[in-house]
Amino acid sequence: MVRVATHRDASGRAGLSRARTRWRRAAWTALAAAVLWWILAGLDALLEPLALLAVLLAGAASLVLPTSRPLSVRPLAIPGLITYFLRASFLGGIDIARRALDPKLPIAPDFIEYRADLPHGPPLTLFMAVLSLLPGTLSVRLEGRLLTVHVLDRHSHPEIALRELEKRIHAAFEDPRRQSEETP
Amino acid sequence: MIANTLTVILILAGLVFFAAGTAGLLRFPDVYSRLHALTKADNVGLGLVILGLMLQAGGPADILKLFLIWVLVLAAGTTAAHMVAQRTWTHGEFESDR
Repeated sequence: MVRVATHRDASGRAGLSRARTRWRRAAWTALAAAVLWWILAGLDALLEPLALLAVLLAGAASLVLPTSRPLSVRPLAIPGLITYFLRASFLGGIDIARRALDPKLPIAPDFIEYRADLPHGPPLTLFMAVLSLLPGTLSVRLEGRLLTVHVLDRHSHPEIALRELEKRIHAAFEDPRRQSEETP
Repeated sequence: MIANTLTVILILAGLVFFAAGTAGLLRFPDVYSRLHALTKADNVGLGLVILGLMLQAGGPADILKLFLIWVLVLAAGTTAAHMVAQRTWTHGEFESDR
């Protein structure tokens, strides 16, 4: 009984918060459009009536367009993810430059399969995108959650780096599946 | 003066990565390995060039514009690499098309 009540309560709150998320998204879109205009055209151009109209229309457009599934990002985990990405992708560049310039061409290419336990949508897309910039891995194909990854050196234990990246992306997003399992 | 020196050093270092990426593109044996060379080396190369240029930027808007260029090239590069790799997986190496 209590369970039903809390459930209905939660869904009512969810509807309200969805409306609030919509407006918040519109505000963020308008802000992003304004910043973009400023970056590309300068501050004077941003204060032109046409620019302000474009910014407002951008915000309004995001109100009209259908909302995607709500995706919660944990802001505290973002700096860690960015630092990790900068470091790992820099190492990736050094690694590939070393291999490409080495007269002996020390590569041992191979394919591995990797099952990513990330929800479809932005988390998995981000995983596949970043994975191609890490040292020695390149995402080739995705079937369900099974990834085919091309590795440049099969002796370099690429799974360890992939696990690490997966863990960090996990930490940056709230997993809707996991949440619904935990709440009841 | 220090900014100019740093700019020159950073851009030269970036060019080394571009050259290494091109060397990989020419030397690596198959499409997949070549994609590794292109995406990863160019990402770092462009990053260093952009860092160098940021030191010469006229204001925060210019710095953000350069940063935006890097992020967009990064997103385009990694996506394109994945799409070429996927296409190669389903359709075979490009040489065999002929």
